[in-house]
Amino acid sequence: MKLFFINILIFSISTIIVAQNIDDQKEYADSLFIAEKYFDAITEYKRLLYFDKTNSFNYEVNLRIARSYKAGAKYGDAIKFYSMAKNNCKTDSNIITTELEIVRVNILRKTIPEALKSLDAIESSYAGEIDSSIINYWRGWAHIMADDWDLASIEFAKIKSDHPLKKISDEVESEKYSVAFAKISSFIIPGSGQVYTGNYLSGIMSLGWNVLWGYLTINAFMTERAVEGILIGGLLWTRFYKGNFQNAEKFAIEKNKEISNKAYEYLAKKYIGEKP
Amino acid sequence: MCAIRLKRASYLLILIILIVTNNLFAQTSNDLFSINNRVSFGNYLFCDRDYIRAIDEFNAVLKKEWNDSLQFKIATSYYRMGMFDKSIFEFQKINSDANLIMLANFESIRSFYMIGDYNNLRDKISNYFAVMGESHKLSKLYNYSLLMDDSELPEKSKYVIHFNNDEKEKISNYYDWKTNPPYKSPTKGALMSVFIPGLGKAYAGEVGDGITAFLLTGLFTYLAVDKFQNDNTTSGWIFASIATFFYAGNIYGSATAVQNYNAGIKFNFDNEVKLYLNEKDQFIPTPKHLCN
Amino acid sequence: MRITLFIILVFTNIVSAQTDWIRWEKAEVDYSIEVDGEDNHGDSSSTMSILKDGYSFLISDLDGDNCPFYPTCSSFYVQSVSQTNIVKGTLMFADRFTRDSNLFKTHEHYPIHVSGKLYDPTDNYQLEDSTIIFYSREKLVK
Repeated sequence: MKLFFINILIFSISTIIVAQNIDDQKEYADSLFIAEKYFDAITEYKRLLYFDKTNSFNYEVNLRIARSYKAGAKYGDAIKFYSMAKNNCKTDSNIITTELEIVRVNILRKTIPEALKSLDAIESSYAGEIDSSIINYWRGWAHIMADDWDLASIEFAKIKSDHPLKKISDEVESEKYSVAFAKISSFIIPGSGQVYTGNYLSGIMSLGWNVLWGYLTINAFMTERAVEGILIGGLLWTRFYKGNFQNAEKFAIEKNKEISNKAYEYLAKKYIGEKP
Repeated sequence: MCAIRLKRASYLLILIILIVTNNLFAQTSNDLFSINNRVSFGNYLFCDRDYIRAIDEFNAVLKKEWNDSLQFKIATSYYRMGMFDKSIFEFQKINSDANLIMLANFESIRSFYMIGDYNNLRDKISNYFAVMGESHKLSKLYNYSLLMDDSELPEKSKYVIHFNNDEKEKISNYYDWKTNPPYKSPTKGALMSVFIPGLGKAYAGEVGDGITAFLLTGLFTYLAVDKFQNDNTTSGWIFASIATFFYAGNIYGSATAVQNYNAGIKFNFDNEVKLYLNEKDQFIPTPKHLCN
Repeated sequence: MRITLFIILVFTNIVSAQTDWIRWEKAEVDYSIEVDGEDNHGDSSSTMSILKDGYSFLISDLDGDNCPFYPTCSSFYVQSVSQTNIVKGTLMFADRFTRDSNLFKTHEHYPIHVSGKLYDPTDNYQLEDSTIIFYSREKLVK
C-alpha cells in the first residue's frame, strides 16, 4: 500500500515537471513574440504545439503564430493559422475575434471582396453578439484599401457623423480628379484634359501637335494630295489625337494615385486609431 | 526474520528501479530541448517542409553528437529549397555511413545537374567510379549530360550502347539532333530579302513581319518614284531614303530573325532533353522513406 | 504542353516555395498603391541620351502608348547605338520599326515582360549567336 502511494507521488511529480516545461516553453515563445522576433517565436510556438499532448494551448498558440506571420506580412500563412485557431475556439467571442483578425489580414493584402464577404457573414451569424459599429469600421477600412473613399465615408458616417476617418475619406474624394471628365474634355479640345489635371505644358504641346497635323492633313486633301493626306492623317494626326486623351486619362489616374498614397501614408504612420 | 528482510529488500529494489526510470523519463522526455526531442521535432518540421527550422534543429543536435542521417536531411532540405550549392556542400560532409555515402554522392550529382554544371557533374561521376567502381546508372547520366552542353559526343555506336533497349531510340534521335541540328542559314535569309523584301523573314517563320516589310518598302519606293517622275525631287529623296531605311533594315533583320529561329529550336531541344531526364529521375534512385 | 510540364517539374520547388524558406523580419506596414515606373533603360551615350530625352519630351510623351515592346523603340535605338555603332544601331532600329509596324500583330514569338509588353532586347539582334538569349514563352521576363 505504501509502495502504491509512493508510486503515485513519483508519477505526479513527473507530470508536474512536464506541465512546467510546457508552461516555460510558452513563456519563452511569448517573450520572443513580445521582442518582435517573430520568425523565432513561430519556431518555439510550433515546438510547444508539437509537445503539448493535452492540446490545451491550441487556440492561443495558433493565434500567436498567425499574428507573427501577419507582422512579417506573410498574409497567406497568417490566414492559415487564424483558421486553425478558429477550429480550436471554445467560445463565440473567440470565434468573432479570430474572424475579425482574418478580415483585417484580407484588408491588408487587399483581397477586399473576401473581407467584405466575411464581414457580412459575421454580421448575419452573430447579430446580437457584436456591436454593428465594429462591422462598419472594418467595412470602411476595406473600402479605403480598395481606394473607394466615397463608400468608406458612408460606412464611417454610420458610426459617427464626424468620425475622423469619414473626414479623411471626404477630403480625399474631393481632391481627386474625374478621369472621365479629363478624357471627355480632351476628346472635345485636345490638351484640355491635361490642363485640367495640372499638366499645362503637356496640354499646350498636345494642342499644338493636333493643330499642326490637322492643318497639314486638310491642306493635303484640299491640294489634291490624297495619299499624303491619308498618310499624315492616318499615321500622325490620329496618333497624336489618341495620345492626347490617353495622356489625359493617365495623368488623372496618376494624380489620383498620388492623392490616395498621401492619405495612405498618413493612415499608416500618423493615424492613432485601430488599423488593419 | 529473513523472509521479512527479503521482502523489504525487494520493495526497496522495486522503488529504486521506479525512481531511476522516472528520472530517466524526466531527463529524456520532459526537456523539450533534449537531443531526442530536437530530433523528433526536427523530423516533424522536415516532413512539414519547414526546412529552415528543421535545419536549425538538426544543426543544434549535430553540435553535440554527429549523425549522418541528420546531415543527409540537412543537405536534402537545402536541395528541396533549390539551394543546390549549399546542398552539394552539405552532402560532402557525410563520411561514415556507407549506404548514405552512396546516396549522398547521387544527390550531389543531381544537384550539379540542377544548377547546370555538367562539367562538375561528370568530374564527380568519374571520381565516384575511381573510388566505388563503375555504375550503369551513373554511366548513363554521364553520357546523357554530353547532350546538354557543348561537349563533343563520341561515335554513335559507342554512345548509345550505355542505355537500356527501351531508351535507345529516343537517345539516338537526340544524338542525331545534337550532331546535325536543323538550323537555318542567316546568310540565306539575308540574301532572300535582298531579292524580295520580307522573304527572308518568312523563311525564318515570321510571315507577318515579312509581309509588313514588303509593303513598307514597296509603298515608299512607289512614292519616291512617283515624286521623281513629277519632278518633285526633295520629296522624292525623302521617300527614297525611307524606302532604303526599311529595305536595309529588313535585310539585316532577316539575318537576325533566322538566328533567333535557331536559338528557339535549340531552346526547345534543350528543354525536351531535360524533361526526358527529369522523367527518368536523372537515371539514379531518389531518396525514399525520409518521412514515414 | 510538354514544355509547360517541364517547367512545372523543374521549378516545382520554387513554384510551391514556402515563405519560411528564407528567414524574415518584421515588415513595415505599407498601404500605398503602386505607381507605374518610367522606362529608364541604361542609356550610356550622353549625346544619344540628350537626343532621346528631347524626342521623349517633344514627341513620344505626347503621341500615346503605341509601342507594344519593352524596351520602347526610342530606348531600343539608344541602346543599339551605344552597344554597337551608329550604322549597325540604325539597321537594328529599322528592323525594330518594321516589326513594330507589323500589320497582322503576329507577336506570338515574343516573350512577355512583367510590364505586360512584349520583351524585345537589343542583345538578340546584334548578329552574334553568343548574345542571343531565348526566353521561355511560358513565364514573364523580369
